[in-house]
Amino acid sequence: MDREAAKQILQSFAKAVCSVFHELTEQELAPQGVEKAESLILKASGAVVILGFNGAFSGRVLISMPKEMASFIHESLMDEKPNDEDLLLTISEFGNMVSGNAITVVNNIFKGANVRLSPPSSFVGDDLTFFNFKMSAFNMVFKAQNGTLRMNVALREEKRE
Amino acid sequence: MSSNLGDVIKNILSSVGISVSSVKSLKEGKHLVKTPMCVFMGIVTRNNERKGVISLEFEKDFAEVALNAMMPGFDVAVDSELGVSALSELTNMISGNVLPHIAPNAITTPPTTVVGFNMAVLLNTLPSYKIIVDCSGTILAIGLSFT
Amino acid sequence: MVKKVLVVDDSPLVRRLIKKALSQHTDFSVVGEASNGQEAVELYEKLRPDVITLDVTMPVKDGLQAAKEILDKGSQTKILLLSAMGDDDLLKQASSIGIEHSLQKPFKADQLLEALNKIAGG
Repeated sequence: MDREAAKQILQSFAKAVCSVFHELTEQELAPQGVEKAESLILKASGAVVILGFNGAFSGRVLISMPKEMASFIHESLMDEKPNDEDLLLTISEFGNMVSGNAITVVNNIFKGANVRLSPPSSFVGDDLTFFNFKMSAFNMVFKAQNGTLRMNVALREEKRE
Repeated sequence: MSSNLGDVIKNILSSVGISVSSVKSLKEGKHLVKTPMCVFMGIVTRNNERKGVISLEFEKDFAEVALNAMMPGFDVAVDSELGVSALSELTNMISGNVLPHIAPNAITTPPTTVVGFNMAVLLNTLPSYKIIVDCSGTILAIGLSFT
Repeated sequence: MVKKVLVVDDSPLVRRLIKKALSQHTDFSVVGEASNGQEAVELYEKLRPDVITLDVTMPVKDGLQAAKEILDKGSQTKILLLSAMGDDDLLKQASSIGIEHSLQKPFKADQLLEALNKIAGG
């Protein structure tokens, strides 16, 4: 994966998550930095959403946050407290918006990349373990008033179609 | 889902040494997962007109049977890197053989494996087809939700 | 005059958000909702809305296909495309069908209302 392309993609996701979170909740998400993920294993608790993408760039994005933060997003939208099914749907849509915004920027920067998103998959639970292989992954951390949001973006470059 | 897909899956499992006693299929309202282990991949098509998710869903006992069959004598732990990698490859093989029957121009996004007990999982809001395979008394479910 | 709106999105959360945004305003009335493109075409025939808010990626039939079918009937209904994706290729595709207005998700209620007022001439 070309270093500059990876940087553009990561920046697109970082900007998208901050922008979407702010649009939905009117709160700020403060980026705390990005680092290369050394482990193939990722542990998370709370609410998690994953979307895959394929095209000129292939990979997946994983967003995790405490249940309280996911509840806060839901309450900001719907003025009601969520049950677990509501949380799954809310975080699913959150991931969809973040990824849609990010990939829109990627497709506009890299003309012809034609990167497409798979449907969001969402998880709620304590002590979840995710595994990824054959990809370079980067961890990004963001802090908000009510907790920490983590984003893991894993990338590999496909042939241009 | 057609019995044709059941045969495709049976053949793949048999080819890696996993014996199959029976295959049945059912349809569910959303693509939910009730097992503690799952490997899934997104599905997209080149002009974005269709998308979906394919999954392998199983308990620890199926994972042990599968790893024993695929890597006999190696005593691989189901949640080790090697074990999870092997199960990801099995998912790749199954999806690679199943998808041409459903959408010849479909491509998959990289597989993700998740392990978690008492987790709530919604892989897709679309209705899903599940092919339930009995493998020596352990159960493997292959889930497919696709527009 | 109150404009009739058909809300089309496969996400129940997004449909609720749109209905909630419009419930505060007397210029628009949600007359139906659909969760896929096929339902959208069927409800368009039945309800003849003034405006359709339309998601793109949906099961059974996607938004662009549904829009083409509706617009090919010589419909006067205005379509507002709503999608998490907003890249140039998608917008070009939409424009080639006759959809000139879109809003990228997420959107605030006032952005939605401004877009609907613009296209419905309200």
